[in-house]
Amino acid sequence: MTRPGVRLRSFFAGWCGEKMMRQRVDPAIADLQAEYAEAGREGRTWRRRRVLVAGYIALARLSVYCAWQSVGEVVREWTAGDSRALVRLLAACGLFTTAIAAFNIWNSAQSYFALPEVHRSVLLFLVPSSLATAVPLGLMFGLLWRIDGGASRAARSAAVACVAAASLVTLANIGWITPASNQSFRTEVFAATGGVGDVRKGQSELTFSELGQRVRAGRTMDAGEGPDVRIAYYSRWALVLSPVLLAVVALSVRRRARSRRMTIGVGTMALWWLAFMVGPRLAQFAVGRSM
Amino acid sequence: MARKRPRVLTLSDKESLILQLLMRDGELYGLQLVAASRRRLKRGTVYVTLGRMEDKGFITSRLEDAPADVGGMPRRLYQATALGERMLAAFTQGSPVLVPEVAR
Repeated sequence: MTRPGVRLRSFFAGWCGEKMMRQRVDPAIADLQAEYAEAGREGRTWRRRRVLVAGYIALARLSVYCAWQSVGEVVREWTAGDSRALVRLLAACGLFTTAIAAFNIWNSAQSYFALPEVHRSVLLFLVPSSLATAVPLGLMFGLLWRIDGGASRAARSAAVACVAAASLVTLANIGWITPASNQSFRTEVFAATGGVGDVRKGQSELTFSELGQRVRAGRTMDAGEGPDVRIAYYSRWALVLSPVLLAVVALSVRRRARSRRMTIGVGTMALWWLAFMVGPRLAQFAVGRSM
Repeated sequence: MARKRPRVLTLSDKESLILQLLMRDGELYGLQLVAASRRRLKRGTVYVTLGRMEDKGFITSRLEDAPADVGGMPRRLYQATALGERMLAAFTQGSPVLVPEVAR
């Protein structure tokens, strides 16, 4: 009989310390395996499935706690070796982030290159919005490139630090920086092309707090504002969490060869893009049907 | 040289519940504590609480031998310590005096 939790234990061991494994993770997995085996001996198939689902949900909750504790441990036990590992990892993540951001900017700016009135320097306002997707993906590819099965404790500490930093950067960027730069970009282009007066903010130019206020006030469909504000609000939160999810994917395949890891990364990126392109449209369709 | 002040120990509701169950039933696994608590303890986070209690010295734990017939990881059994029993007694008897609203 296959024992549940074996691969999960390997995943936890990649970034949890020895004490956390001994006190929290191993007892949880041992209890899950025992309960699963007991249900198997009794011939209760559905109970086995319920035990498996409940056990994995419990381990998912535990992983959130362990991740938080890992960040604290990394900060308290930081060494010079960790700093060197962090610099190397940041360099890798930075390279991938820069490449993806450059592609995003080039893609977004295509329609503006043809406008002679718009000065090229205005395209700098597109940098924050391009980083919104480039930072999580750059983090994933950086981890896939640098972190393998034999990664040292320092490298794992650096990975935890990078994931925490990427989440915070993404939160600040898409919550407040990108809306402001988007509005500045629109205002500059509007003025350069002969527009007069103020440019009204669209959903992409609203900060987290402004979007949240509209959601709480029940302002869903608003004429001229496009998709439901709830979709925009929760899509942004999904983007804030995406560095953590993409890092989980990267760390879970660390024992494979680098070429295989990078291939998985490209596949994950494609699925991620699909989710962010199709998800809001599906949600909008569902909201439209329910109204 | 000034004497070092002892650390103030606290006992949360969940820790108190765990100690009550361990004193009533002796050694228990984590999942047995969840079942005995009638879901007041959660399956995922009970191990976090148990780890914290072990750090405070309220409980001890030992690894059971791995099951020979089906394999799998050895399970961890938990037991209350003398300190844990004294803490539970102190909070049980003292809290109604300190915070009478608790006793109502």
